Amino acid sequence: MRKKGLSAVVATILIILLTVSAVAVIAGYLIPYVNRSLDSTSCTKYRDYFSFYDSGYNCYTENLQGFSIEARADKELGKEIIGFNLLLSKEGSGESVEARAGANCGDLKMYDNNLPCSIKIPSAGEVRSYLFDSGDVRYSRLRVLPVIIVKGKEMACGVSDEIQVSKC
Amino acid sequence: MLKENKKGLSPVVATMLLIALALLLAVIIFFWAKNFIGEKVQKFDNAIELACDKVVFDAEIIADAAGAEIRIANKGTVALYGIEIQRIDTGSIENIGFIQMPVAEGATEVKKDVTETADGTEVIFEAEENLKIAPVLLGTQGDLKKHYSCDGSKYGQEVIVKD
Repeated sequence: MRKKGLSAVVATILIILLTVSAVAVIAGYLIPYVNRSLDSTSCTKYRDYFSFYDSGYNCYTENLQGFSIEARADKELGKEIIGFNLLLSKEGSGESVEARAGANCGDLKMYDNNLPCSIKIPSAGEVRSYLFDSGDVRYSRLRVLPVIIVKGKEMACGVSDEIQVSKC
Repeated sequence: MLKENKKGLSPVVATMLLIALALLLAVIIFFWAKNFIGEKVQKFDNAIELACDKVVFDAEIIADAAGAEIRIANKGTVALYGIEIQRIDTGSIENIGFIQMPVAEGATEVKKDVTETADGTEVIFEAEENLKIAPVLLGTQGDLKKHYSCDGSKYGQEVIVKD
């Protein structure tokens, strides 16, 4: 009887090699893809991290928008927070303001305005109040978005809270 | 007569291999998910947040040249491990820090000459200053003991520093 062909041992080794190389190739694509997907889920826990605090400063004057932000009392989450973005809008127009811990004051200032003025972001359980010079525009809707640092990169999360404001 | 070919795995071995594979996958997924979700701090076999509901206390702070005197009366059914202090100012509530001060259920403790928080940060209390005191409980996380600050906005108590 002729026994041409691969022996069972060689066939098994070939199948194992094929499986290992297939796994390596798939992992090469799959792992970065999963990592990217996981990065985007980093924001899930910050969904309600910041909220507008009813301190009586959530209102506007002729050229200033006042608002108070409270951070959720969770110290672990607070470690990744580097600031927030504020979206100001009214019918037909809007603008975005970036608040980053330690940044110099510009149009955005701390309400207590101690000099030298730098932006303070509320830590876990804290409340901070701000003033934004909006020129001659008065915005009636404010939204706050947490900004976190993920693997050294800044990432703005979705809207954490929003509020309708009126004249002070 | 044909000879029966008996090569291959027996049903018993195949079933055991499948069970082993399923168990291995379950263990891998469990440890991955545990690491991803994280373990919660517990007290009385429940999430420690639930124990915060049972905390009832009175706090008093008296400013002094040598440091502050803190008096805590625990009127609830949960022992306190300490307090977290926040300073209430115009438009802001700022964290001052954690003061370790165990107070058993029904007991009253007084800590004198307080000049720093548990992490060594210097703290000066001034008379008429408005503070918020939140209870801190001791719970367990796995085999570790861990302290947990109850949410000041829900469980905190506002006090005015006395002279």
